[in-house]
Amino acid sequence: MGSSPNSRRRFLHLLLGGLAAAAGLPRRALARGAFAGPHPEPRPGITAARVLKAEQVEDPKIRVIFDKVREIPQVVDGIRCNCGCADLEGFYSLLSCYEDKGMAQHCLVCQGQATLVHELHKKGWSLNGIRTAIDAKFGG
Amino acid sequence: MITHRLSVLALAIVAIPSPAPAQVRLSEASVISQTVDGTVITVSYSRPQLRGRPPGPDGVYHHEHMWTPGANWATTLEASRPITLNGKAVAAGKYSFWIETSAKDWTFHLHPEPRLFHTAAPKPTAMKHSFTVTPERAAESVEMLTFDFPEVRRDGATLRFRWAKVVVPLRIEVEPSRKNADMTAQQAGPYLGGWTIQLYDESKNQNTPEMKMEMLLSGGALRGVVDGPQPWTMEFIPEPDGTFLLGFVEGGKVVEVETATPIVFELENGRATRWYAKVVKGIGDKSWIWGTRRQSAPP
Repeated sequence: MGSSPNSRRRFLHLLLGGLAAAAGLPRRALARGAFAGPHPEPRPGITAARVLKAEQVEDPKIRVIFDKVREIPQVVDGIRCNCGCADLEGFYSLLSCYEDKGMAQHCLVCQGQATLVHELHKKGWSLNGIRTAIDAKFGG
Repeated sequence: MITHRLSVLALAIVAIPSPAPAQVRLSEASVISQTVDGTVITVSYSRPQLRGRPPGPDGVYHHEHMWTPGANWATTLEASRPITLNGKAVAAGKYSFWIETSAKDWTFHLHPEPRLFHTAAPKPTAMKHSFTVTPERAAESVEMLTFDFPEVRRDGATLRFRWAKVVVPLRIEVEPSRKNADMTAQQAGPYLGGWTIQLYDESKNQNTPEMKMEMLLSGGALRGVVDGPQPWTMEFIPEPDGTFLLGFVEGGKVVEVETATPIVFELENGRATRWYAKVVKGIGDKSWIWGTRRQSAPP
């Protein structure tokens, strides 16, 4: 096993906002989850108006997650859901999973993603950072 | 007295070691080796030259004739771990390398006995592995028979044979050095949660600003995601001795592992509170990356 100064320089290059070429991927792809599919841009003015109300969610543990989504619709709307529903007609983002029929009630991936999004947002993470974390955990 | 000195002188002259035997060869020996994800692939051969002979059949080689792509002792191919060669599964080991040519295509053979002279070509039925390739034609002629690795990938390489204007690329694939990650939630528990990390910037002789990192468990792999100017992901790969190696993740896969400076975690009451890259003599006198526990792990 030998030393790899290039890997340490690569880490530094990314940290200091160096050229995305150091990572071998275009900047846009890095920010948007190159292997899990692109994350959508949050729709301007998006709200939680269509997110299921608390009384519409049966399971109290799941209700807590819906509450979290309702707090930050503009962030959740910038995340792609990796459970497969993103490919369904009418689904725009992770937020869609919590709207209308609220399919997230029955999907562990939707629930896990929303929980992580909320947690990192509360910790002050950037949207791109949250997207990278979602890809790292749920990208598959 | 003079007789004695003459005797001593005679003895000294006799004792002077004779020069080494002549070792110049028309086809000098060469070795080329390439490591791919821990698998070492080596080709050892003697390099004949065209020397004005017609390249191709009825020149330096003949159709329907078994020959080794080299000279003197047969060319050998050695793999330290199992590989696939042009789609053929080849067990680790050392093989002699042979070629049969026709007007249409070439058949490459591997024989399990590596130590064969070029005149002792085995029969096709005695070969361990055989596969057919269609040689390509290059614009430039190469005087010396040459093997090289013009392409190296994360999971394989291309071994290229060239002589005169003939080019034959051979695709090699290797087994990943690392088994699938299989860390359980219980094993990962002490490490999960929020961290603050910094790096030491050698070029500026200073530490980078603090950045947020979240340690997550993903498919059995312990991954740290950093929310810097350009968010990025690294994987903490457990070693048998309790340390971890840091892997750089691209496209969801580890593409490079920092093997020289293992990561050490410090635990308090069963929970990791700090980690750092070991300081290794010859690399530097300061850890190049470290993390400090930021807040409680998520439930």
